[in-house]
Amino acid sequence: MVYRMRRRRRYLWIAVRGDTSFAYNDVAEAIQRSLLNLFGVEGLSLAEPKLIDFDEGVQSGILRCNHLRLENVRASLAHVTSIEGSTAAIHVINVSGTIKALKKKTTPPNQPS
Amino acid sequence: MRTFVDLHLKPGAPSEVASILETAEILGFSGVAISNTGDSRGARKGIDVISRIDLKPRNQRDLTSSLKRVRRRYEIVSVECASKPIARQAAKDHRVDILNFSQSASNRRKVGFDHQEASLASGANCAYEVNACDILGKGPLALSRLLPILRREVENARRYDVPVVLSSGASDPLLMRGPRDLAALMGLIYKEVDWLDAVSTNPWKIVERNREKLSTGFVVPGVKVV
Repeated sequence: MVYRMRRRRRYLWIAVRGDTSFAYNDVAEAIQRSLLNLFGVEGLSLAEPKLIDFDEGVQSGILRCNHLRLENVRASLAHVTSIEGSTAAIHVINVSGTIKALKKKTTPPNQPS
Repeated sequence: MRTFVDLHLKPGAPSEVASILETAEILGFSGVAISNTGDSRGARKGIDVISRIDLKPRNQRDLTSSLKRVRRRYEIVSVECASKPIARQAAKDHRVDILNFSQSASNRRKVGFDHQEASLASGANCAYEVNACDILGKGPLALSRLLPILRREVENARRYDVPVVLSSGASDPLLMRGPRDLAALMGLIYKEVDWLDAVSTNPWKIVERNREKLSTGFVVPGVKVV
């Protein structure tokens, strides 16, 4: 019998601030590009970032990543200063090991529906 | 529990102060220092607002006269070291809290936090400041030029036990980052430093020391009129 270790992940509640509203694809691409710039292809592939939920109305969402690469992902999010040519910032509101705990931790006004 | 402080915010206009304070509170800072504000001591909006001045002296004489004028009026005094003589003078002056250097890699190569500077700063209890805005949004090539310089400077600070202060240096709320994000970003420069201390313990120590000095009845460290 082959045992496979379960991959541990971290879920980050992110809030995007900027002069305009951004779409899911723009935010996901900006995160990937920043990771690629700072840590290269290897860093991006090891971090496995995935924007699993993004509410375009309140401009916040949930980003999933590998738990060992959390600091790299945080650094990449902090490094983003523009999305699709517009000035923007991505702030990490909360981090948790499960989506359920993340939603419990985060106060309702910041939650995507 | 750690309390975080951003010691370097420089709003472009006074009208931006409110939005900067609001963003700082959302990001989890307990204190912020706003550059070149008057005496703004005391809590506002649940945040401790610290008064700070950034001196940009033309020469050593200008630096000493400016320090004489402003030291009793501000909780944090920072000096932007534009030339080597100014940097040396600032590093050995006990009235200077923080040393700041140019944002550009080429200028920093000429005037930076070298061995001699670190040795003088260690004796005078000056802190070395890293501003996150120096590296925010920079492309891979620009970063590859700047990061080795910053790495050397942080190594010098560590070697001579000079406290490192991590600030955002933001002029706009969109350039502000949370304390843990700033610390993660600084992992690009040097992994062995506890960057969370640089955004919490180290700056608070400076603020507390100076508040004690500025309080009424203070004579010298350890002596107070009661």
